[in-house]
Amino acid sequence: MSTPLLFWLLVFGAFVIVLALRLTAALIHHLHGRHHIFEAGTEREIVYIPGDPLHPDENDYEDNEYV
Amino acid sequence: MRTTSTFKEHTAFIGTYAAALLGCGATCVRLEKNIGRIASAYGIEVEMTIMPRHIHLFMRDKSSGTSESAVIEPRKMPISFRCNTLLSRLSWEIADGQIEFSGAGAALQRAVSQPPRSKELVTFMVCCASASFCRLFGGDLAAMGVLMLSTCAGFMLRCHLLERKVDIRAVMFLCALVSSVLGATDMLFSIGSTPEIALGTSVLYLVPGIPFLNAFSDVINRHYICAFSRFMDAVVLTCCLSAGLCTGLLVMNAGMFR
Repeated sequence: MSTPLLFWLLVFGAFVIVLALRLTAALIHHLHGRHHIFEAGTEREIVYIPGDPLHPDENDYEDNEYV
Repeated sequence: MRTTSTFKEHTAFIGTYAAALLGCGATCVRLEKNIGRIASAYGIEVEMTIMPRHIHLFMRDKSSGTSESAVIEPRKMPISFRCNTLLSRLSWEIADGQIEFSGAGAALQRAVSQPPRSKELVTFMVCCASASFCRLFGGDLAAMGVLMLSTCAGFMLRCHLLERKVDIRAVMFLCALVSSVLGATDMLFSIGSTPEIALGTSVLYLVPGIPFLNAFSDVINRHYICAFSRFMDAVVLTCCLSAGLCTGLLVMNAGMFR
């Protein structure tokens, strides 16, 4: 077997193994996460206007808008 | 008249802001403008010396004449246009009086602690960008496919190593090596008609474009020391990239080493 082919197989093999491990981990995480295909989001997720604060501020008078 | 403690809080905020802005990859002219804008809104005169590894700020309260000097190191964070934009927006909000000082501190923390974009999405976008470059240089579909594969492998390796705080120069070398080896797939198995384009464009995603652009921006604005520092950083990274590419070509017996 030539050196270029050997080296290519080594790199490609490592890449495929890493990719397979990552995909498996992602799949397991996804299955355990119980993601619903359809679900009702919060009002904030549906009606979001660019410029709205991204995180709730504990010092705000009314925090209900973030719930 | 403003109290000394308030002045100190303002100068501490300006220092943190400057560290964050330099850390996220802003140019010197943006630093000067944004910091000047915030300082002016708080009634502070500011003089700054921007060096590659730190910023020296001299701030003087216009009303009381109290002054303070600070030497600040840039915050260690990846280059982020998003953070850059948020910090610039914050400077305008302060200047326009839309945000109180207490709110500004919280907004600054939010800007610098933005969660990173989805890694998978970014990897996919980088792969698409590389394939587009390949097509732009005349590569065929096989070359584009190979390039997506090589870019995906290299970019994943880059993210993995950078997360583990491996030196960026070693990361560039290794990623260029992996990408060039996989980029030579066309050549190795005689797939498609443009294998040399796949090989040549396999490391384009590693080119440090932002440091080069920032360096030229600094030259235009006569920040020569910073410009030279950024330029040298970019040149060193490009050399590491080239070394990785050459090693890949040598191992694969391709390109100029054939």
